Amino acid sequence: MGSTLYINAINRALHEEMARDNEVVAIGLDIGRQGGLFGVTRGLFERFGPSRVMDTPISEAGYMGAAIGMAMEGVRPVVEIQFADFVTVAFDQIVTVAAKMHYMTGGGKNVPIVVRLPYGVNVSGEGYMTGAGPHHSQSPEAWFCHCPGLKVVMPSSPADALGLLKAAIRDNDPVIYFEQKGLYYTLSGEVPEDGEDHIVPIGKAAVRREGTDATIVATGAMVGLSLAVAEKLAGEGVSVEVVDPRTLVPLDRETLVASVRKTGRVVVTHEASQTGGFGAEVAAVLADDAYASLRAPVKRVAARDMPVPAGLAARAALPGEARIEKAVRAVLGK
Amino acid sequence: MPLDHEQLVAMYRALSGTRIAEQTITDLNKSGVLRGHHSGLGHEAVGVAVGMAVRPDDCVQMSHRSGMMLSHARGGYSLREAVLSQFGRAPSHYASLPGRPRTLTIVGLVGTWVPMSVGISMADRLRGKDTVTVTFFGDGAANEGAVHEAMNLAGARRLPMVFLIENNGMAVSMPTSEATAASDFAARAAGYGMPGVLVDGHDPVALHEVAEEAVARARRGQGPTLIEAKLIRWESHANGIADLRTPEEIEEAHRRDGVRQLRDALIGQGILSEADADAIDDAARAEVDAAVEEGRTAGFDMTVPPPMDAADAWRLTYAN
Ligand SMILES: Cc1ncc(C[n+]2csc(CCOP(=O)(O)OP(=O)(O)O)c2C)c(N)n1
Repeated sequence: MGSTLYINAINRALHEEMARDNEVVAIGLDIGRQGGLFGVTRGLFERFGPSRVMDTPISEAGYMGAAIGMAMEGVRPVVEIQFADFVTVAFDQIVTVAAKMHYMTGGGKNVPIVVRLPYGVNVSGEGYMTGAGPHHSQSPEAWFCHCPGLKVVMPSSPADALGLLKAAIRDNDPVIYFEQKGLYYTLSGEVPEDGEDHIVPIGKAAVRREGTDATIVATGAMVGLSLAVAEKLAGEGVSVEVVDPRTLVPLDRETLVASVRKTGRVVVTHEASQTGGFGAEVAAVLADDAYASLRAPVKRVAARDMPVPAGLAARAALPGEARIEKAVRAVLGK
Repeated sequence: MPLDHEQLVAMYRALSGTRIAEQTITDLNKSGVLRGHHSGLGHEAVGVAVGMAVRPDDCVQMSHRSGMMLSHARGGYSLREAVLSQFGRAPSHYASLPGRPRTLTIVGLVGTWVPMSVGISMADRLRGKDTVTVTFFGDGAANEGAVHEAMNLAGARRLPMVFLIENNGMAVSMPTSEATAASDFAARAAGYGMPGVLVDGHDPVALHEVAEEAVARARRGQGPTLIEAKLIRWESHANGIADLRTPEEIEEAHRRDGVRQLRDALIGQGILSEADADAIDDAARAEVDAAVEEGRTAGFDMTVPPPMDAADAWRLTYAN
């Protein structure tokens, strides 16, 4: 075990998978000589060359479609969309072409692409990217959760960033990989030693902290905030469990339900806006599968339904520790 | 290379056969036996000519107009199968099956399908193949942003590709002349750094020459070509949709019919006798009629939903 930055874990996964399998290629804007706008693809171009590390013109639909075509021939492209927000331009290719190909061809063709989406803002307020404005800050995971045929993962730690990307690259379906760009340089964590083939299976949630009084279901950057809230409340004798789904589709319902059977009280939190968000799905799943265990209505703590403001004002729109704590107290009736 | 006599006769056989099959399928749809068809009448020449210009290992992404004709001309897809597929009794020409020439599927959104063909070409290059990828789309699709991105990407990477616009002058009810101020789509090629070639989409011999050169150029490593085949479709956009064109416009399509033109030319040059040509037509008609009989007696009824096991269908959503 050693400690590494979130961004370095993603970079390591790309290096390891490209070295392991010649079919793995990377494609996107400025990912070659530049090493990626944020530095995620550093060193790939020098190591694997321009035929496998492909810089493209600013044509999100064009290169997404091209990646899908390559994938249909058995290549395993990892597509970087520079900011998750820009995926709108390529949305049609993902939803219309990639997500439905296996079904439409009767299982004859599959599309093993990974779409890497740097999303969100730096909720810590430290460093850079504290609200890059409405077009560079969104957390659009719900758009993809609503599209059968796609898998959606959202790692919240360096170890998961490493293990989930490696699993996504080896998966035979299109996987949308949400990487929280505010965590790139602000979050470090333990990862297995170099050379260890660390895989986090798609579809498996993680219990980040065990507790008995209430459950917080948190994704991405909300996991760290939720752990801080749990720590604070522990000082008051309140025992909070924090569950990180890690994979949004397919969702590990068992782990969520098991937690709620134990605590009976739930807060769901994500960085994306509230209406139609992933939290609504979690609340609905728990109403279906754990209704008898629920002792209070499920509370959501999400971003306000508005464009993400630029700069520090983003913090007024986004969920933070204070709102998460308030919601936990509310479900506990305190 | 100009087509020799044998190839010209083969071309006529494919044109006549697919015309008869397409006319029959169109009529079955008009009479309500089948429901839902984008008739390819008038598009036979472009399908057959390009089909004869590519190798089985080249990848062709076919359109909803000329795909059947192209598949038939490439071989491995009989008129009988073309008809039976309409009755749900045989795989369609879109299906990728072992032993058939290589194809790439399209999707239900026009224009959206074009970028993936660029990816096929990129994958072939990664593997060091000397194959060419050809992608078909219509004048309507040509105005989609994804098509521009795809052609630009192919130009920038000098990919061995051929983009083929079947400009039938209409996108449902939108005349090409109102959809763009440019008179020719072929001129757009200059913006992508590739040659743009305009060709009469009814003339199978001219189409073949242009397609063969574009394919050869791509295979030589000289990059992509944009071909615009101007033609007129015979029927409305799809059956059940009103045709807003004047009778004169449709008459013009019949006057320029490439199938009849080739027939007349082959007879005029003494390559075929009238009786030879009739025999070719009759054989095709017999095959098509027998297939219709086979399809109908199979008890096919468009008004009855096919049995579908939802649990099985669900399994196809994901590969693993
Ligand atoms: C993105 C998209 N918009 C609209 C449609 C509906 N539609 C189907 S075919 C068609 C016309 C297409 O015109 P063109 O590309 O010229 O091909 P044609 O059918 O004329 O051969 C339209 C509007 C569609 N399938 N996809």
